[in-house]
Amino acid sequence: MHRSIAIVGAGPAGMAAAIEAVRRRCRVTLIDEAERPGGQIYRQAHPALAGEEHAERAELARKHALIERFERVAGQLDYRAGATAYAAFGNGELHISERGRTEVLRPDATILATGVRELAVPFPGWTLPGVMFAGGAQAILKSQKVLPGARAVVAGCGPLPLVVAAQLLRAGGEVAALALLRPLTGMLAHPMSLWHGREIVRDGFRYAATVRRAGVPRLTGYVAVRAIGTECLEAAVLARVDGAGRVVPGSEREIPCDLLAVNYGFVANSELAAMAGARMRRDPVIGGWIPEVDAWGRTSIPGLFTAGDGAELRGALVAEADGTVVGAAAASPDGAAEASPGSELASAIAQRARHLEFQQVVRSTLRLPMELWRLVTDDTIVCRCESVRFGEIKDALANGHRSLNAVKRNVRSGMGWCGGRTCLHAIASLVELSTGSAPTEMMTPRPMARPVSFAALARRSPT
Amino acid sequence: MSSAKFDVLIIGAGAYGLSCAWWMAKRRTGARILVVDEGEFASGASGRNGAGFRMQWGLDLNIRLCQESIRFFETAAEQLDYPRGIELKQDGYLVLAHSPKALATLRSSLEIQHRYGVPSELLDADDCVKMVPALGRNRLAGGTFCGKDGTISPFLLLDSLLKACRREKVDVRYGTRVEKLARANGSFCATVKDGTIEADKVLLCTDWAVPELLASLGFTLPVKSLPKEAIVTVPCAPKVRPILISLEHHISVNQVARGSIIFVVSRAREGTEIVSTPDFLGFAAPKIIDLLPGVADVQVLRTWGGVSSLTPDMQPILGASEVEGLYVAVSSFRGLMTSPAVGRIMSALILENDTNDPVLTQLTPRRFQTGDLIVEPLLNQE
Amino acid sequence: MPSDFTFSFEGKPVSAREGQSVAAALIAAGERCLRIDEAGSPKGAVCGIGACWECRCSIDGVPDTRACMTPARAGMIVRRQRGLDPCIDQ
Repeated sequence: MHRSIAIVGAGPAGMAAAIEAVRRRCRVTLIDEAERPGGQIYRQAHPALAGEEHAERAELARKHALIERFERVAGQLDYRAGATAYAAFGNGELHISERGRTEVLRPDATILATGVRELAVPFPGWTLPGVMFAGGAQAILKSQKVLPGARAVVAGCGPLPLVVAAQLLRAGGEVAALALLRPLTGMLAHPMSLWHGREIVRDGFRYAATVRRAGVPRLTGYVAVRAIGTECLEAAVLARVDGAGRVVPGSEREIPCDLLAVNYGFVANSELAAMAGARMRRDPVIGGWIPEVDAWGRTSIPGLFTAGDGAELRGALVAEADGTVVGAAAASPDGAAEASPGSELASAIAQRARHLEFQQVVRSTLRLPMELWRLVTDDTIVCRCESVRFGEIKDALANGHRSLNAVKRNVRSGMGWCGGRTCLHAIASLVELSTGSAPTEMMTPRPMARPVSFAALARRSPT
Repeated sequence: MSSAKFDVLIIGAGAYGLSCAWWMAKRRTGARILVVDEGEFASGASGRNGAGFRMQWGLDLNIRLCQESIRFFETAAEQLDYPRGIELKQDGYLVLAHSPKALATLRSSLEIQHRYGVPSELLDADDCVKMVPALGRNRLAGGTFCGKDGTISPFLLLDSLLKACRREKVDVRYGTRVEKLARANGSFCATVKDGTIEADKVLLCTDWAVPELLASLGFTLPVKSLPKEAIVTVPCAPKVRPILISLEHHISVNQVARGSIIFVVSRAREGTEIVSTPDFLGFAAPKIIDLLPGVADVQVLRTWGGVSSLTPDMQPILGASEVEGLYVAVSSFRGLMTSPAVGRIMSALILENDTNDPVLTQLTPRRFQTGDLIVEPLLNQE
Repeated sequence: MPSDFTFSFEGKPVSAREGQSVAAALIAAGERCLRIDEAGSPKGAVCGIGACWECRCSIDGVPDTRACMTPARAGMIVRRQRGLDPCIDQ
């Protein structure tokens, strides 16, 4: 009896899981919102937009190798490109919408490989057009072949700002400044772990060389504190922060720009797992609220797995190896596979462990000091969808409403179009900053993960 | 928590609990009143409903409870000293009939409403569609409309009541669950996680959960839980000005100021869990499109659940229980819109033993013993 | 920039290449403000991956369509939404 597996997300984890599940003779349905596989990190441009990707050769080689492996088996699975999983339930149902119709899948197992989105740290002026997440600017550059700004300031922490600055330069853009919360050279203190990610480290040095050759001012220990402009961004204000993350008065520098690309880390797209009732835990560095999983990717809901960054921020190399492992597990009736020595599965498990060692080093660059959240002033918009300012949230906290649900009921944060994706992590951190303790519970996860029309809900395909 | 003694312990801080507390505090300055709730602010049914109020009922007692309450809503900002207001909107309710039988029910209810001065009018199908062009004509027989019906913001009502209660020195504690109730030396003893609470009198405002605490005293009432689910859409262009109720579809529709439309869809279900069930949207979407074809392309943004109370005659239960000093107030799914009147009536009953209001005779817990029950006809649920 | 076709944004022609999203083509044309929200604030693309919904426009009469997730097509009519006005009257 061939097990049926539904996989949500066609990024590295989803593709690897699909390949493995097909290899194990499962009936696989792969659901992904984009028209082509790749997810975010391996996003593919439309074939008509061929050309330079400005990424390092090794990364491109990994991307193309995986995509090719996937394309070879794509015909053996039910690949629903342009489909959306809008709800998952504890009874094993996965609800999807595709081109104006909906369908209820009841697979033997579901793998959520939904990846991450960028973590938002609000600051005054951040809602001006021209202020983007660095990864978003990169997506426009990589897959749309459009320079998202003529003169950029790139800021944040971790490896992504450096990569984006270099790619912008390679595409012919100007980068007026690169501001990093911490120097990346801190990673060099862990040579053994770095060795496991030596290809990535080498790529990193090459990106750094691009930035250096262009003479981009590098401001280490600086963050973006304000965006200035009336109709759009006109300038970014950077300031130095001390070891605790507090802005040093008098250190502000105003830099004219039309793009401010910021990244402070990532948040897992864990809404479907939470909605299905999986037990969650919170770790702000590796994705915020993430499902509790074991080494096989099993959540607390039988038959529900998560793989890749959607389970825990670990990067593309871990995601690919993890996808293989979780795909194998989901293909087995008891959710755990046989990994005999020398087998491909054992090799994937070992690879995953090696790449994870490197990731631990990367994680150290993504820790945000609590004081950094003081960038958010009372007038700063925190929930962009509902235009809720931090001052309103503070009032709710002062009135004793501490949980994210209670704050939501009081000020409407999280009730808009994005379902809290942009603001929830910020609100949780701001609650911790203001009250001394972080909320333990997420905002109650409920359908829909994406808006779907009544007409589509009524046009249900028979199962 | 020490065992300080209170004059009245109110269990449940929803619309009923807070309204009763405020009215009691106003009635007797210095009364020691404590309200406890196991959840958070507005986490219960009062924070999950369709937010509407109507005078269009088929029984005099419901009409009167709502009329009085609506008058209160109209001046709530003043009475509760809440300048921000409770977002009162009186664009009317349109109650729809999709069969000759339902239309007959509307007609006879209209007569009773007019006796009590409710400004409601009968509309034919054409009038209904003129009023709400997004309505479907399929089986539509007609409706009744009352321009004084409308909506408020439940959160702002609860917030205004909470602040007013605290100004009157009412103690309101969230996150406090009463595990059991016992009688002790002529007063009551409520057991909570970190101690006990003593009070001369207790008022249960836990709605469908009332039987749980009554059980610890050896009594019961025929109250059942009725789980319901609701949908909110993305904001869209104005399509539905009055609140809509369809007797046949068991749906209520409320398009709020920001443009989102809230649908509450009832179906016979059991349980007390606040969940969004897997089959809800598949069940609700075709009904919603049948009722309101004009919203077919509007996207659902979110769903949620809530639990109402159900009684054998679909009426609230208000009054003294068989246990002296123990009172109950069960809303039977119309708590928000009757809360001001209920607050006044219960405060008079509890503090002054005033049993004069005829509503107390009609809604007494003892009526289930005599078995003489009259069901409210204008219900939009099973 | 090489162009394959044009679409209209607020009545003005905008060049696009096949395969580009509406948001990318608009950014390339120097149009960063994609809508005015209910508070009157100008908004544009932020996340680039369809997660934040800030880039939503009226596209061919369909309101609240994410510009970063919609491939541009010849003759498309794209309008900025202002507040809750969905611009369904093209």
